[in-house]
Amino acid sequence: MVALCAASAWGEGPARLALDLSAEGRHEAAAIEFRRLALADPVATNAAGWFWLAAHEYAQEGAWEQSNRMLDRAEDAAPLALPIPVAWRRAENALGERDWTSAAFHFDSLRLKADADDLREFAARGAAAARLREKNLADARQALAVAPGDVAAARQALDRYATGRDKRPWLGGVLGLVPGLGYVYSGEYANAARSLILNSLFLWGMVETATDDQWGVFAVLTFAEFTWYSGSIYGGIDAAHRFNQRRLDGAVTHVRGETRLLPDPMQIPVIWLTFDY
Amino acid sequence: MSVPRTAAHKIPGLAPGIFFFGLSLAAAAAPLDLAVDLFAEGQWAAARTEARRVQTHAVAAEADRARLLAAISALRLNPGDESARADLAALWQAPAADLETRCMAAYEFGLADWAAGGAQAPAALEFAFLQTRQVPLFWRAGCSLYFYLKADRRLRKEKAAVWQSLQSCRDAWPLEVWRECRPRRPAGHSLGSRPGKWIVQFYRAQIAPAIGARCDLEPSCSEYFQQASRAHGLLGIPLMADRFVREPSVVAAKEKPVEMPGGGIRYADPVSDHDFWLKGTP
Repeated sequence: MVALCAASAWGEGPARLALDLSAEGRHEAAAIEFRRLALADPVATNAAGWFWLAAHEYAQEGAWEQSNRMLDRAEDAAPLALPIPVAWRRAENALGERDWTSAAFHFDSLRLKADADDLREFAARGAAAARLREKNLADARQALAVAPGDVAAARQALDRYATGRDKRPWLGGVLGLVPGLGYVYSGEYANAARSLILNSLFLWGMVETATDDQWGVFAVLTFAEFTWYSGSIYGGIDAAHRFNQRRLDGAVTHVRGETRLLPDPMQIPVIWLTFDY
Repeated sequence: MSVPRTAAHKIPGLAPGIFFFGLSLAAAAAPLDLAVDLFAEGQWAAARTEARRVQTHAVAAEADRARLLAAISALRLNPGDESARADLAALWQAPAADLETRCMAAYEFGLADWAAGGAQAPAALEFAFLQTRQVPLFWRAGCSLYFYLKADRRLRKEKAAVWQSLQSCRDAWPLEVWRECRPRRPAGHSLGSRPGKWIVQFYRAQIAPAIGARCDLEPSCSEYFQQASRAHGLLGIPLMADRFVREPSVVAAKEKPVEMPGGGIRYADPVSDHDFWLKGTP
């Protein structure tokens, strides 16, 4: 467990409503309650803590911009009060925003500020994951190299990713010209079978109706077949992208490991982060 | 015979965050700070709730400001909100209220009335233009009124003195005020997205009631198609076909379950999972 930064021990009493809302999953409402506490609190470090908690709640909703704004407010309220929680939250927000370069920067900053080995390892893994998202394997390895603790599994995941091969989306699209083959290329056999069956049925219907001079039905079936056929091409490209994304996600999960940081609600507005293994 | 030009052909420009509102209130009304912050961030629903909360406890001028903020937030949420417009009109015409609050109410009411095709917009904007002492509001009320009168020759003649005054001070309005206040045509669907919209409308009106909800994914297939065609036009068609092909696999995988408000589970399959590469996002 790692304790970070502080304000006075005001306890969770005034924050009961905010904590309840958070527990119910109503994070935006909880964030607003924390903001209300921040504006009402005359102690600057407490206000910073409440703003940080508001930022954390916004982040649970995926409102990254709001979250970053609250982190700015926390730093404005008490500039040096929360260096580590703010760096961590900014790093996670940047990951959420898919801004990998900023995420790596904030994780590096977190590693430099941290005084405990477990937190430094956490930060190094985060920086490596962000570099991996950027497809910058050399920097990802370098980030892991400075991590204390056992990161052998993360290194192996990086190696596996480096030796594996991505699918080529353009090739998936070209293969998709033969209905279903684009899906086969990315290993999605059930989707391939469905695409093949649907395209075959509609093509057969087109041929039959053309043979019987039923041109109205032919026009309807042609439109529908155009839909399935274009779907096969698009699906071939998208399946390749999905394959690559899954491969990357798997590697990132291994690099980051199972450890997560969480604020301890019993300590607020002191921001006390605990590891969740 | 030519049709006379009136301002009603276009809707007024909307100041995105009316920052001057925050500036004018910050010093005076600490209880409204949170509501003003939320408003400035564009969180209209939260700002309205917060302003209403203040309104229930506050008295006199503070209650008026809270009412004003609640009404403006409600209009940002739903531009056609009649009760919000009525609130603004009442505030504008309340002689006991603070003059700046009345001017802001008049300005916002003027814009809302203009957008709704009402006839009181010029009077409200003129009130805000002539009475306010807040420079940003003076610029915006003047600029909006200028555009309104410019499109209505008859009214311009009736209000010759105001028109003269607008002409003389228009050089002082900054470029961003011109851009903000310039009337624009109401936004519509792009040409490419219209077939998708029609198909979904037909499906929802004629087919869905007969066959019921048959999609196990979230968003539903019709919503997915609408989102895809809104974002990518005709490319929404292959996106939809791809989804029909994938649907059984996504349901079988049972990844990303979403609990629906009416009970039951669906599986998340948003458009963003399948067009992220189109947008160039890694």
